[in-house]
Amino acid sequence: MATINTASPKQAEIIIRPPTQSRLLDVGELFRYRGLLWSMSRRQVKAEFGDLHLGIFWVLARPLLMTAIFVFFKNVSNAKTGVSVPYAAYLYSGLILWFFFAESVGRAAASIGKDGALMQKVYFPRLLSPLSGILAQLSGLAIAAVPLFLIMIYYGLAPGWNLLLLPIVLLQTMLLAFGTGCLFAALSTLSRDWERLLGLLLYIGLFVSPVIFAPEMLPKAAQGIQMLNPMSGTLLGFRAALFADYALPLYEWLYSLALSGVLGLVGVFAFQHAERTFMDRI
Amino acid sequence: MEDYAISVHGLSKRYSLGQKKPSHGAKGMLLGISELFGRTPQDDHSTIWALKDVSFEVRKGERLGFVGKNGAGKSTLLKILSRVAYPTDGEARIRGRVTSLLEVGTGFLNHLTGRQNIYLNASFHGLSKKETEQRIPDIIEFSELERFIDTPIKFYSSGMRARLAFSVAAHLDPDILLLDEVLSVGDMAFSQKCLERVEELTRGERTILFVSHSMDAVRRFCTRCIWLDCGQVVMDGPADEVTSAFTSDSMNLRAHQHWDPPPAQSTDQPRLLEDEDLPSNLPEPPHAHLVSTSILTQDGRQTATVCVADPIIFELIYEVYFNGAYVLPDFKIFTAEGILAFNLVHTGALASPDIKKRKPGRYRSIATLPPHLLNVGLYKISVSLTTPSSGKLVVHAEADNVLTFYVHEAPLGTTSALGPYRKVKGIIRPLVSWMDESVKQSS
Repeated sequence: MATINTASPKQAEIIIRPPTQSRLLDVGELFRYRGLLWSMSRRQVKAEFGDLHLGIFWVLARPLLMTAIFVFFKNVSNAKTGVSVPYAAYLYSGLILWFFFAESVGRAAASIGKDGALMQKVYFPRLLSPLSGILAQLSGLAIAAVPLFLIMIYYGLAPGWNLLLLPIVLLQTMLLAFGTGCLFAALSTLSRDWERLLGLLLYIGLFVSPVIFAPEMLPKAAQGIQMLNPMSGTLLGFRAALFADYALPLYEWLYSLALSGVLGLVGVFAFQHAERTFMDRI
Repeated sequence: MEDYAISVHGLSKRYSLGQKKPSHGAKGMLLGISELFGRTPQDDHSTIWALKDVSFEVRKGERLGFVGKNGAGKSTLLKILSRVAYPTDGEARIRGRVTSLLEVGTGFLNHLTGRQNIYLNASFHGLSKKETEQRIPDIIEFSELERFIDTPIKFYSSGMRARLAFSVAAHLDPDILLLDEVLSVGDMAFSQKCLERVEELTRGERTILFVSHSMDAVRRFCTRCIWLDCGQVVMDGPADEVTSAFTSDSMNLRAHQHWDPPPAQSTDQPRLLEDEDLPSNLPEPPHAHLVSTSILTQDGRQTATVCVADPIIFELIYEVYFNGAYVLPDFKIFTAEGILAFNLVHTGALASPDIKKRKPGRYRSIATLPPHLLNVGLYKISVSLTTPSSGKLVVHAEADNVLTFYVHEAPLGTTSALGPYRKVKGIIRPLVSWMDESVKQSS
């Protein structure tokens, strides 16, 4: 048999130490395993859109139908949103980002449960499991972005220079989803109740985050409170990146970014800790 | 040592015995948080050390076997080296790419087909899609699962999963291969194929760590062996010696037995008797007692594990009380199930008539079994001292199941009656000569 040199994940020396003495986050190792991360993500994308031929329909149906319903309500009730962009564009963009976030958190939170059996049999950097779940969700977001372009063309909306912010806002959203997801993945190894709580939070979050409404519609005091929600700044930042007419609420978004960073670290810490104790419960 | 492949230093692993139940309710949720961010519970009565302070180094290309009872820590050790379990203390360093085969269906996902699982498994070991594609025909051919390769593996039997797992691992071309009891899965034919493949792999520069309950497999594949007990290294040395020592210990083997002299008879003064030919002139039996018996190697060492290709030497030392006594030793060899394999009776009386009239004193009789007589397995020995007579056999002393010994497989490359088989049935396994020729068919 011919020997084939495999480049990744070759390592000069693997050092195995107790969890307390090993690094919490080995970025170099994650990078070496990028090939595996890619194939794990691809497998999930395939599972969603490959086998299920209606996969694309399901990704589009939810935000489109909800947009149609809420635009109808808004029109019949004559409610004032106070946003500078057409409501349909505002609403649809908010919905697709929210669903991207919610699905990502859900996938990441389910990662230990889903890949746990695998983790007890083969070694791979454990964080690849939640990471690949989130990366795979990008495909859904990309598909859902197509109607967004059509809506923007319909209303004659154009992105400005702010469009350069889009990847940064998306990365920040993924970081927030990763942190939250990892934290709940860790917690749900200890108590099933955390899974239910996450489900509730993600459901309520859709209505308390500025997805359907605009912060301007709220009284001043309520605006301050709802900005504590890290998804508020994120959603507004996302729209600012998309629509030239929509101003970026800089401080609110920076707050979301900072909180994403903190949650990311807390999530990694909790996830690694939970995974290490989970492994012994065979 | 600089060229090590694996270096393990002070490795320990503690498991909590009490299965912690996931707690429910608000209290459980809060407890969860404190557990996640707090410290792990410290040593208490409900913990067990699966490994304690284990250290060893494995050179590149070395084939190291692990033996020990269930729960001795062998599998835990391989799990830590495969990085699917964390050590509690200590350190291990590994140089090279590791592939491990720990349990049946290692790292398979049920909803994927056999083929998809090959790709998945290969990607865990860092093979790209292209590299996997190059190997896939070999892997599928080896597994003999062509017909089922595009079926989701949830429909596979455990034997089929094992085949697939082994086939993938055997074609990943790792520097270090960790195998845990894998050769005992699947049917006989496939298991034979796996053995051959492992043999093939061992020819290269590969380092192999091998956990098995089969001493014969360890002897066959490993150059070195570590015996673990209760998470600690009991012995580390050549595979031959360590497996022998382990077998002796675990099977209660006995290579030697000594008897204290019976008080009554031994005090008797030996008497001279006129009519020496008639045993009836001797006092009532017993005329002798057993002193000791042993199983020996050719160079005179006591041993309870013998290679099939070596002679087996039985020694019996006994004391004769009376002048002119006619005492013959004999050995009975029983299988582990208690079936008498054969009875070794002394034939010396025919050869040397002197033996019929012994002087009082201590005698030593040795019986040598030729090589390639007993098959691999566990045997027990009973000994006795008798006088053959026309009437009833006179028994002076006897002891049942005094010694237990194990006949083990010959190492690779030694001529034995095993041939290409994995196991040969029967109590005896003589090495015979075979002659083959083509025969013309009569028209």
